[in-house]
Amino acid sequence: MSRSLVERAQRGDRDAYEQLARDAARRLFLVASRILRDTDAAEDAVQQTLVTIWRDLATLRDPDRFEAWSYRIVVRACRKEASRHRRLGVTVVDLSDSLAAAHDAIAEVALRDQLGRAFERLSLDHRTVVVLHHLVGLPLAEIAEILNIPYGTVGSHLHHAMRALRAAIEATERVTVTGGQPA
Amino acid sequence: MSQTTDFDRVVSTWLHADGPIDIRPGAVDRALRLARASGQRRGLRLALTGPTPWPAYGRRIGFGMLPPSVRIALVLVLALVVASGVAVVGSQLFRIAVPLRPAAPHSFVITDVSFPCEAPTGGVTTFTGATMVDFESGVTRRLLECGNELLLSPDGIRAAAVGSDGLVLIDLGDGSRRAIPGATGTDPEPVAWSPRGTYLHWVGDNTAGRPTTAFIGPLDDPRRSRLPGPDEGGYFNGAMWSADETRVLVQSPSGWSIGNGDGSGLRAVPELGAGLLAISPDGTRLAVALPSPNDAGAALAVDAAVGDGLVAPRSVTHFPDGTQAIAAAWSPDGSTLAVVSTSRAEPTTPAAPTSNDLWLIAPDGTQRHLALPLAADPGRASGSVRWAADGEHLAIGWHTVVRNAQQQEAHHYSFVIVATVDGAFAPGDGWTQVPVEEVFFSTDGSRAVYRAGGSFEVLDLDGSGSRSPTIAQLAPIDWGGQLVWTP
Repeated sequence: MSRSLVERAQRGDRDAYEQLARDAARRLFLVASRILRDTDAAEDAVQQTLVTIWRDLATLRDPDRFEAWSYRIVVRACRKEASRHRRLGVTVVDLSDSLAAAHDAIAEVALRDQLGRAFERLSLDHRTVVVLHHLVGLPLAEIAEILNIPYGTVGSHLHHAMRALRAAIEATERVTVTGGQPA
Repeated sequence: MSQTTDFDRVVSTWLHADGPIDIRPGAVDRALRLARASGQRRGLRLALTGPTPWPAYGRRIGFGMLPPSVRIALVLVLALVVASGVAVVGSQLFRIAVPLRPAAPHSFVITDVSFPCEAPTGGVTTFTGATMVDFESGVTRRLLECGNELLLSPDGIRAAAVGSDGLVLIDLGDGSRRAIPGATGTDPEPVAWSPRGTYLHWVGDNTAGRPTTAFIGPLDDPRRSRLPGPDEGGYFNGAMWSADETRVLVQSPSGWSIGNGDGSGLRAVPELGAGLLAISPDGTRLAVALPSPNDAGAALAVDAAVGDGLVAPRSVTHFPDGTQAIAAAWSPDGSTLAVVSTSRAEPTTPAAPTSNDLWLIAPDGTQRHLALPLAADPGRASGSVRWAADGEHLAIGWHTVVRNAQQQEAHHYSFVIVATVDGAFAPGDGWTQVPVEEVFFSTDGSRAVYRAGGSFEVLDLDGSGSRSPTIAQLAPIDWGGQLVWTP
């Protein structure tokens, strides 16, 4: 993401903005879909994010911070989407794509399934920290800045989230070894 | 490689693989269209309203960015506003929830009941208390137990009463009472309110333990005007205010004294004699009955101006021989003087039956006359005349005392309602006669109420004059004779 492209978009260059948006859409969608675990909701969140970027891009003081700034916006949009879906009583858990694309062993399928279920049970904040850290690869300090929460809180979120996921994996391994049914 | 690193890799791999990795192209196109539309709306808004007041590259000021002291102040203000709202709503709900009890604005009667109370000098004595009865709902409420002469203010908001602790004012809304300073030992009789309730007239006790001095004063002001007492040749006959409270008349041995509404500036006006009947609403004219030279009839004088000085009474009418004006009242707008007279059929025969008449006199002296269908008993008579607030109805009360052959007195009461429309009488349906002593008009003049046979009746004055006894279940009431229609 070049600085000049962001600066052109900030000056109102519509072509620059469109290129910026298309480049950002993929990574934003990746984050949103993992946090929300709902393709449609993730697309809505990304759409809202792109509109917000267009509207508020001029307020971005440091063009080099565009990526982190866009993550902050998409996380905020994800929260709104999650809240809206809770109000509507809709809970979507979509594992079909991954399951269809996978030709792994039964144990691996069970592992992914158990990870997905455990991830579902995490709070939105915990999921967000895990996604930004382990999917996007952001350091905890930057995540703290994006989420506007203390560094220690980010570490705590990540610790608890990973401990929950690890517990799910260990349960799956025990089931696979013993041939029993997962709890 | 540690276990944690392995697990991190597992999670990272799972996150990449678990779900779609690319957004559908159509979604991005929709987002771009939305963004363009948003930008167009924003541009239009800017064109219409000008640039936003927020700095384009600055941070917007939110609540969390305000200084702590400002945040605390805002929270306190918000809490205060919320508390005020809760208090207002709560008070309204409380008023709805509290059981109905007599209070303004209702019409009510005052009943007198005797109560044994501790006497100021020790022992037990009997006081005449007062109970307020809501006229329309019938709900009763005890207002005064150890006291006398509870008198409602003209606006019906409070009452003056004479109790063992002196003259007190009672709030009819909450029943609280407070003593008027320096009015202890007040004689109960001549307590009177001014027409608008600004002033009160009462007879006070100085130091000798007996009423010696009368006062007039504003209720919330310790200053009051001292009136002549019996030791100074004064009387305790109450006070007569003009409707606007600018003038007050009090009686003295030499005749009448007139002064400002608060009782100040009193001076005797002996020219009026003892025949004062009424004072005009603006306090500039007096109606006086003057005996005719041969004592056979009476002349009525008005226009005795009381500005800087009293002018000589000007006779505006002469009644026929044997006719005497005994009561008068100005209409609320001061345009008409209503006079009630009594006359003997034979001026030289005192025992002959009397007739009663109503005279409506205009400022120029023109008059209308109507014979009143009141009891024509031979005997001592007194009467009263009262205008309704609408200026179209009159109530004339009549009281005669007749002695029989054994010289025993019999009291006869009666009254009539007279309806006037555009200065003309409306006889026939406009007449009603019932055997009661006093009638009270509602504040809008649409109804009159009186006591008849131990119960109350309401007279509908919508033009027909028909009687509609809507209240008949308040009896038996030991009625103290007071009824006030509040606004």
